[in-house]
Amino acid sequence: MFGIVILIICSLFFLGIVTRTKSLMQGRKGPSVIQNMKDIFRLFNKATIYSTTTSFIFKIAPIIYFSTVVTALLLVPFFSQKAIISFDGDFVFFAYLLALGKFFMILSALDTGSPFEGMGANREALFSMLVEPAFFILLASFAMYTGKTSFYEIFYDFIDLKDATSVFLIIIAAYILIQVAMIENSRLPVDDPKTHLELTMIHEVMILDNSGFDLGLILYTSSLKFVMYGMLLSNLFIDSSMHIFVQVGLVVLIQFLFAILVGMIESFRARERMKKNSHFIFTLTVMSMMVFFGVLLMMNKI
Amino acid sequence: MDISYLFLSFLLVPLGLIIPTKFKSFFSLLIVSIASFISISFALDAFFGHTTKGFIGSENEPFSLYFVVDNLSAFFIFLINIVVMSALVYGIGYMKKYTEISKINLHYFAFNFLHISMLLLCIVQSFVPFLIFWEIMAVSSFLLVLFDSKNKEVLRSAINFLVQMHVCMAILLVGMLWLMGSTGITTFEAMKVYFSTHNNIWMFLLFFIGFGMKAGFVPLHTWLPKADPAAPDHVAAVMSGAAIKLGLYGILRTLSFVQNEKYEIGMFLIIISLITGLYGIFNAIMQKDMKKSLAYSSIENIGIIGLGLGIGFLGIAVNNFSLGFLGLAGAILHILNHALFKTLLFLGTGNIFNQAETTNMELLGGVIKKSPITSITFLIGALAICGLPPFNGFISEFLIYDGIISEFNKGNVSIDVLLLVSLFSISLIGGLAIFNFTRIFGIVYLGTARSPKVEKMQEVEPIMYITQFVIIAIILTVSFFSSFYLQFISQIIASFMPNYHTIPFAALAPQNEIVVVLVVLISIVLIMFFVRKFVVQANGESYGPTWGCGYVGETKKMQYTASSFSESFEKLAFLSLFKTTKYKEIEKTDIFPVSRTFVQTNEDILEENIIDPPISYIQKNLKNFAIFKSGNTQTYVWYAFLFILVLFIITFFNII
Repeated sequence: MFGIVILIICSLFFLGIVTRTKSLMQGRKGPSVIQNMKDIFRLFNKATIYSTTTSFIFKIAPIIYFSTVVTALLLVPFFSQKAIISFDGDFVFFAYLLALGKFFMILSALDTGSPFEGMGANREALFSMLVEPAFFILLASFAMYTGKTSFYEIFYDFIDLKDATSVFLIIIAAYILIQVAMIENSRLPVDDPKTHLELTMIHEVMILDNSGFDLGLILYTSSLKFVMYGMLLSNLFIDSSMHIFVQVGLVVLIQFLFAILVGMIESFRARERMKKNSHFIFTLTVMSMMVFFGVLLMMNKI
Repeated sequence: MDISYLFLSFLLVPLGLIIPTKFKSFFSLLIVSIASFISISFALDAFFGHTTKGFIGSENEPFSLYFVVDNLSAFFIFLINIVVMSALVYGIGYMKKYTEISKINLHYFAFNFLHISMLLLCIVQSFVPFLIFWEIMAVSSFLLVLFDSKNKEVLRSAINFLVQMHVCMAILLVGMLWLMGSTGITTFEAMKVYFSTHNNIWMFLLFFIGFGMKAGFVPLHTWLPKADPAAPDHVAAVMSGAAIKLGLYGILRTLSFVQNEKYEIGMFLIIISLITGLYGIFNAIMQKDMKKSLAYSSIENIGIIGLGLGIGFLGIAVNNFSLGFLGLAGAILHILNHALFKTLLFLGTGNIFNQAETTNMELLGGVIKKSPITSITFLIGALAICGLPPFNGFISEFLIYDGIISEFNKGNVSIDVLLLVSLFSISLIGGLAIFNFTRIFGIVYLGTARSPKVEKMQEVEPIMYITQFVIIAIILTVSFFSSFYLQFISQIIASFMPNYHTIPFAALAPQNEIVVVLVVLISIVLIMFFVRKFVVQANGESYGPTWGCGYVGETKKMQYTASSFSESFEKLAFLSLFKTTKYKEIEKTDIFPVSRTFVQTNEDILEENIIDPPISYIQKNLKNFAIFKSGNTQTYVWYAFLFILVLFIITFFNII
């Protein structure tokens, strides 16, 4: 439970740090790091407007989206401690939980009957379907290397910073995880949350009709999702032999660096053309296959 | 009770012809109940460890009837009864629109015959009666598909179905004759004898082609996407939910006798299933018709089941019982799961067809406002088929995933690479299924109506959605009490792995944890639901039009359509190359706009390029023989005379 509390605290600042980094990069002072949370909190207190076209799906989708991410958090191991619920193959469950949330968000976009939101829904469905194999193959390679199949055991046995090949693999794996996190959260280079033209949006256009509590919930879920991936990322680097306080410090540090990295990427990269997005995502799958073959090499199987 | 009562229930069916039209459906239901009652009583025996065996007629004669009700049969008996019973109850409501007596008579007649023949196929183990019941099943499903016989497209699909089922039967006949010839045994036991002395691969392949055709493995699947859309929806539910499972029953039965070469057979199953799964879901995405898309998604699910079987067999081959169990249990549970949610989904399309008289997605939209209850049932079916928690599809897919993941690290490189490809494909299939079913549900049920057909829709009769609730209840038992189902399935698996009787801990442990997570998920959703309700009530809510990005002249035609939703994927996977478009481009000289048409169709790529060419070649050449067909009785008498003359000459000169 302690881990979850730290993650939730991190999630309050995460998007703020991203925004701050971006504004600093642009030479502005920028808003304070809790401005995003203030915005979300303000949304919670606003009245909601629904489109007359929508049905109950539109109303329950944000709740389910949020609940799946919170449940998924329970499966993520927190440094050397066991996740709250851990079992063999839990990362499959993790991925399917997130897919459930996404399923409802796609439906809620189609529920409005807006052509723009339909387009966003279509793109989100396509891109998130393409990113799935990358995540699975990456974790399967870890599972093969460690001989374990649950998140906790995989990460517990994983780290070995003395071995050069292992370090190399960890770097590729971290790269893939970061990209997966960026895609899952609809950030650059696949999607740009700051774009102002509906035709080029993906995630933003899907939630055009959400307002009030629902919108706030969706925005906060995005931030939770970021820290969740940040946690997975830090698990790659944390050794279970470290002292517990060192581990906590490291987690917070990595979350912080991750947020800055996201801000940097968003400052210096342009968004891919919509056509190239699928190629880009597919490349991630190929990279995770590289990790797989790297692991085969390490195990002296080939 | 005697099993022969089940055969006798065939005799009851014709009585339905003299029953008043109003009560025909109930009479049919009565017979289904009788047959279900008899078969389930035997299935329960098997479930509690007592296998019923026996002969009708004398032993070892080709026409005598050897029957066995073991765990495998029991499993399929339960499945068939659930599907057929719910489809028939649903059919009572669905058929009310139709009044033509001859059609109704034929429909219920064929329905009962199909049900009883399917049950008997799971029980009978002698070859000749097996083929007879197989034939009864084929013909009665043909009659059921042919319900809307005035429609040319339906007629063509039905005949296509009949022919393909006979090809499939011919292949089984060859296999069975071969077995009878080489072993002298007339029951499935012949396989055991044959497999222990000969190479297993070829005979397995022969039976796999025969049964696989019924099951819908690519490239033998071509009948399925034609027959399902042609049939009335509750019949399509039986065909996709239960009838194709008999192909899988045959494959499982054959597999249970395989002695050697298990490794190669497992490999073969994995590869063919991956092709089937990917091909099925690719095509499902391309379809504009709901039923056709569902039919292709059946093919996709057959691929998932086959993958589980292959992985399980690989596990048995390398003596890894845990892997064997996970693969087989995943496959067998997925057979049940697919039967449940595919029935639910087809009944869902039935609700739409019943009211709007079309299943073309481009003409539908906004159905959720017209019939909220059936929309929810369809949504649950869609979630279940995508393998999303908390529904049953997840449980079986999870077992297969678990099998794949836990086997890495133990096997050699070639197995690892094969499992990598499997993992890649199954996760891609899962993602694509989500893509497809968000498309179907989003386009058909959400948004606004795309044609006036939807405007007149109403909620269907209670009898039609109550059956769907029953199926949903069973679905939920699978996801929340999966260990009970696995206990039963482990008894079936024991016949594949004779020296192994307990469920591996690795398979059961996650199941309990999954239930915990599901409960947590549902409770968080409920808490959030009430929090949201409270907050929204406190802050107030209002309604307005959808935000049109500044444009106010929106019409319902501007909504995203089913084809535009799938287009992005088609372009990516080069599937759009296989579409034929009929459209005349606007020339430079066309000054004034004239009305134009745009038609885009897509055909099954494999069917068009692999199955059709040889058939049309044969057809073309056989047509030359038509000159003999004069239609004149005198000419035919001449043929007979000439034949006898030739025979006489040949024997006279001792040529043969």
